[in-house]
Amino acid sequence: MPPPGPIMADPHPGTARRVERRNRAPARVTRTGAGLHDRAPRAFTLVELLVVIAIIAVLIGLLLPAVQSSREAARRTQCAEKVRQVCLALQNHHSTKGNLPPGRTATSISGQAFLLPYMEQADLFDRVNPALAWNHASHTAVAATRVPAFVCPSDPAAAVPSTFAPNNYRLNQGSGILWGNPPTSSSDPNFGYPMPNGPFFLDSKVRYQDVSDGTSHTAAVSEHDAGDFNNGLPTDRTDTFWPQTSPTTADEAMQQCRGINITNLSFQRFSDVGAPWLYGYHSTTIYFHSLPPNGRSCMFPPGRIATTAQSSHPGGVMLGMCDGSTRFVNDRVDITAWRGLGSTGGAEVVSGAFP
Amino acid sequence: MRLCSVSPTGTSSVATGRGTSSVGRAVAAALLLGVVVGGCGRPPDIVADPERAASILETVLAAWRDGETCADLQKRSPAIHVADERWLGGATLTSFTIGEGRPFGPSTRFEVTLVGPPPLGTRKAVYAVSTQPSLSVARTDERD
Repeated sequence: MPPPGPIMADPHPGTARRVERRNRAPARVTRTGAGLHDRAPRAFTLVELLVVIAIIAVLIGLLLPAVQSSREAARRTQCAEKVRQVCLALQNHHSTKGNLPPGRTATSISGQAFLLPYMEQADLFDRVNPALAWNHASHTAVAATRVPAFVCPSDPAAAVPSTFAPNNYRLNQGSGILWGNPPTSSSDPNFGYPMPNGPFFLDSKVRYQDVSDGTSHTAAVSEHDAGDFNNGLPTDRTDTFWPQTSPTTADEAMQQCRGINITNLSFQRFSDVGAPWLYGYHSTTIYFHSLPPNGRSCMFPPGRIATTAQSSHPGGVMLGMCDGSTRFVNDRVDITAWRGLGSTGGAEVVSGAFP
Repeated sequence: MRLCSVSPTGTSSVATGRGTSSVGRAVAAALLLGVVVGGCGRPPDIVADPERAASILETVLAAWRDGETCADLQKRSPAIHVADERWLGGATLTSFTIGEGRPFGPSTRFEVTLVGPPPLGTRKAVYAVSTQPSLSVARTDERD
């Protein structure tokens, strides 16, 4: 036996085991009579490996849609519960104050802020001063405080800056296109337009007895995903676009909103959509029933707005009614019935809105 | 016992025993797998670029001051898209001061002092500037 030499690093580590086996003697004999040293090293070939990968890929391809679908169903159920929670908070507000909260105040504090005491967020509400503007320095921390009840689990809201807390649940201003209340000056381009006909608008104090269509036939809450916060990127489903026209009716607004080519970024107006919840605004906490759900949202300054309900749930949006019930409304809902759901009065037929 | 004296030519580290071509195939398979698995990920998030944003905002406001229109900026290469109702409405700008940029999600926000004859006057404004995938400057403080 030669004297042991210095141990050196093996430049071909895969060869060492085989060499060791060759030097090992005598080899054990198997039942078949073949020695271990006679057997070719056996492992997966590349083809076998690729076949296994292909089979796994096919299985994943088959399973993934089913898994995703069931996960989305669970998220939608959670979302419905959150819409219901907002509806219950509205009812509790009504029971306590005698009316629903305003859609927004003159200082642009949202209606959602007034629901906080009825959602176990009284401490947060105590830090809101409705006399001050939503973006006043004293509201900075409030605007950044995430309220889980205002966030739909289906919306990743990945682009929302950390200084703004998102909101997915918006209050219904009705089926008109006027953003503010009707102007009193005849020189105002919006002079002569009627009051918003939904339950939530500027300084509103609507009572259930004012809802002549019936609380089960009038929408209170729906949803909208947060925006991408990037005006250099047109996102049809979340951004608020600016056709630079001046529609006089909801039908005209729908036609003009649909008529623009959004890849022309001059039609892009607001992408910072859905945050913060403290800010009472048509692209943050309020929506309208003038355009169909899951369609494009548009604004027509000065003062005419057509933001709509939108969600990440396939096929439709969650709708919370004034009576506290929740419904799922299909994207292809009849527009007349959808507008009827948006108004507190008018005695419209809305039975076609639900399957 | 000799651990390091084996000729590299006679053996291969890969079980197929076909030398370096098998290594190449294995590497190719690994790359293929990497591409397939990598395709499942989200695209990288867009990150704000405050320096470039400041330069673009300076260009835009200088164009307003020099009497150009929003449409003129769209004809530049690369195009800059501007959303400012006051500029579009015909207001004149005589000077401006740009404050420090603040990253705001994928865009950058700037406080700007605008000076011009009435109805513009002297007023503070906030602009959001996006640099990816397109150049965009939007007024964010005056909302309707």
